Amino acid sequence: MGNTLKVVEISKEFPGVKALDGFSFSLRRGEVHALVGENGAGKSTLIHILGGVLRPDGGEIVLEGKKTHLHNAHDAALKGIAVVYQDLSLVPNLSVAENIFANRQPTGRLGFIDRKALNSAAQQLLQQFGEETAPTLQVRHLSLGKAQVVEIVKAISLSPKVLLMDEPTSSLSTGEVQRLFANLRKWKREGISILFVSHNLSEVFEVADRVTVMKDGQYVDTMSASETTEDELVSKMVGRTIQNIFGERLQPLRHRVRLSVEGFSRGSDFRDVTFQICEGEIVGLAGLVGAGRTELGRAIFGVEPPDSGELRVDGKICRVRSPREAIQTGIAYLTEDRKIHGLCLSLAISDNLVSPNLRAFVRGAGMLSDRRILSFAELCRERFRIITPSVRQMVMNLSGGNQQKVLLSMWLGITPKVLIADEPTRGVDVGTKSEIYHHLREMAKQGTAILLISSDLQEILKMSDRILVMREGRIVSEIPGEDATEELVLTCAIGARCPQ
Amino acid sequence: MKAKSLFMSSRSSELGLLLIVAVYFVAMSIYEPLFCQFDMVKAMLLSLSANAIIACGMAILLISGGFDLSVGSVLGLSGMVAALGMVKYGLPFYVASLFGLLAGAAVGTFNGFLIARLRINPFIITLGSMKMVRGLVKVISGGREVSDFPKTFEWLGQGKLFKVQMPIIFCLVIVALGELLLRKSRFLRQNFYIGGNERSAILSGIPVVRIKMFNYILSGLLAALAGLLITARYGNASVTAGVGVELQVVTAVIIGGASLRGGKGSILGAFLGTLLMVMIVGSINLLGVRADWQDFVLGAVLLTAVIVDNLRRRER
Repeated sequence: MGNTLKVVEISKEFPGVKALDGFSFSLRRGEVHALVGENGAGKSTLIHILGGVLRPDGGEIVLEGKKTHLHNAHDAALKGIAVVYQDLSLVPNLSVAENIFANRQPTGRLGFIDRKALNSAAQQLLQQFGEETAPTLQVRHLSLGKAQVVEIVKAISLSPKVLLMDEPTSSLSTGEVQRLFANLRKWKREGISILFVSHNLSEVFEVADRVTVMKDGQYVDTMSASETTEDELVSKMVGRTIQNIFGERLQPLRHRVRLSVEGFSRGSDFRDVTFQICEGEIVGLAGLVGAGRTELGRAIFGVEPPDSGELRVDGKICRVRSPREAIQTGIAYLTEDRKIHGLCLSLAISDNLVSPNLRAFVRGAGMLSDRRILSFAELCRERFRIITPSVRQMVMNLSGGNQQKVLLSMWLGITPKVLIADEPTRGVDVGTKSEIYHHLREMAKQGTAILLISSDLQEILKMSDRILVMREGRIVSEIPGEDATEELVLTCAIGARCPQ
Repeated sequence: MKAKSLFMSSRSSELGLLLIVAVYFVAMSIYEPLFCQFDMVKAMLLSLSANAIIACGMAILLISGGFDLSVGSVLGLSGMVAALGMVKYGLPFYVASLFGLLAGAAVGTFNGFLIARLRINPFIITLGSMKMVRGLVKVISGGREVSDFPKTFEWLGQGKLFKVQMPIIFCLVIVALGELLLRKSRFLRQNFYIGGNERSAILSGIPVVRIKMFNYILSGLLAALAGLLITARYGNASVTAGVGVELQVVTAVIIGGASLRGGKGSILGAFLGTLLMVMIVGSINLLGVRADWQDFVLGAVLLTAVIVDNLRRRER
């Protein structure tokens, strides 16, 4: 069981940030190896270097005993390294088959693409994985989960010796995750070395043989999965022990109803949704992917208003037909997709922070006051521990966890009465998660009514005072916090027997 | 069966356009029988040949996410270069024509280098080269028309093969070949990947820079060919040959289903777009409507095509 891949003292520096600092580790043949660490630990950078996309500043890559230089992505693929990146890299207007065989389509005479061979080969690969999607379907019609599966199939079809995956389960449903793990075990037996980055420690323990912890671009430790615990991993990742990242649930000031939603309906997205949230309450909204939770959140925020229904904030009826009106009413919305809908990646942190409430930063005849903007930005940076050399830094240069913190603090600027938080800790490391939970609780203490939409059951269970379960567009159950268990929430979400 | 319906949907914009073109033709012919006479049709095909040839190159560029505003100037340049070659330097027509084509390829290489290698915005680069090349045309011609070419050259533009004028033959051959290759050859299909998601194309190992270079050189060559045909047809090379052609061609290609964002389009669609535009111009003349309305109508057609496509996409 030799080492298929070894990295020795790899370093990579970006302006102002040392992403990798003399990092070394090895990957054995036929093993599933997890890579964990906080945001900014250097995991994505390492994957990009091993995938041939980034060139290391120092150190060596040793592939099957031989020193190698990876010139570009194509070169890495030819040398037997296949990568599944976190942000999907598929071509939306082309079919599944065309995406899988990009640049290696089977050809007949004269270099013409043999469509029959293309589609049947793709079909075969998909079936081997256990996926039923038609290979002729265009990728833009696929759900995120299915698109992720196509990417994985594409990578494995290169017959790699090493398969690298960056957060492969982030868009997958529970069933799809299990199927992926079954496939990982199959590939492991075929001798493929698999390295995957994940923030989901329970999944790590389910499928990994060994786990390596990274911190601040450096190697911390490698352990056999069976010989360590989640708490031990977390403390190595963070460098300190975190007790109960979710914090203590406070008794909410249950008097006034802050948000009242009555009879919200819109086509097939959601029907007859009625619920209330009191001041200082955190209400979790659980359900399977596609149940309509994000659509409901967006409807309350005015992005796609409902066809019918009534919304009241602090007792007053409000017509919210656009996000602008929502903000004026005191509603804030943390999107689930910070890169596409939440932040302006090419703008500075300070610019993003003031965007929901520019009016407050205007002085004189409609001119923005730089000083006010900067002092607000510095305040946010301090309060939220946003790690950046300067608040003028472009948001795209921040790590995922820091970006999420920017997103959250952005909304705090308008002291919202209602906050809809959609997947607030997706793709965020443990340390940052605990900070975000702390801030959410602080907001609740100040009286904000929070609607927490999340696919992370632990998160919902530990943070919510009450849990609403949505299924196929309707609220099927309301469970008080003390009575909630994972099984109960899941059964209601799936549609089996459910009290109430 | 499923494959057939999907096949339909990705070609549906072309079929829709084909339908519109057919309906327009039939309607016009009924209203004004002169419209469908053989001579009228030939005249329309002739006037669209040059644009259609350029549109092939432009379609490929748009699909890959690129853009070329310099085609009109290149048309003028190649015609002028070939003309001067024959008249001033007495070169045989095929040598002069070769120089004309090389001029087009050179501009294409220039564009390609700045856009593909240095990754500068194609709109701005080709805007600049459009002006520079037009300037060159003025300089080398001294501001004067050049005419009086050997008959062998003029045959290219005025000669006939099977009773059909040469430019039309060139056009049909290039369009047919282009459509076939774009749809089936692995090499040209890579443009869809590049335009659809360039990052994905790079990660899949597609040689993006090389392909983009090729695209711009091809565009330059096709524009140069069009320039030769126009010069041969009219018997003179003028300083203003090709002015405004780039916008006409982009309009036609977009009507034909391409998007400025890249990732979609077709050569057949570009051809149909060119055909539609020429039919509209032809019918304006035939109906006795003031020729001044031409620009307005063409602009309206472009906007309609884009809006319809946009609305169709939203329903998904």
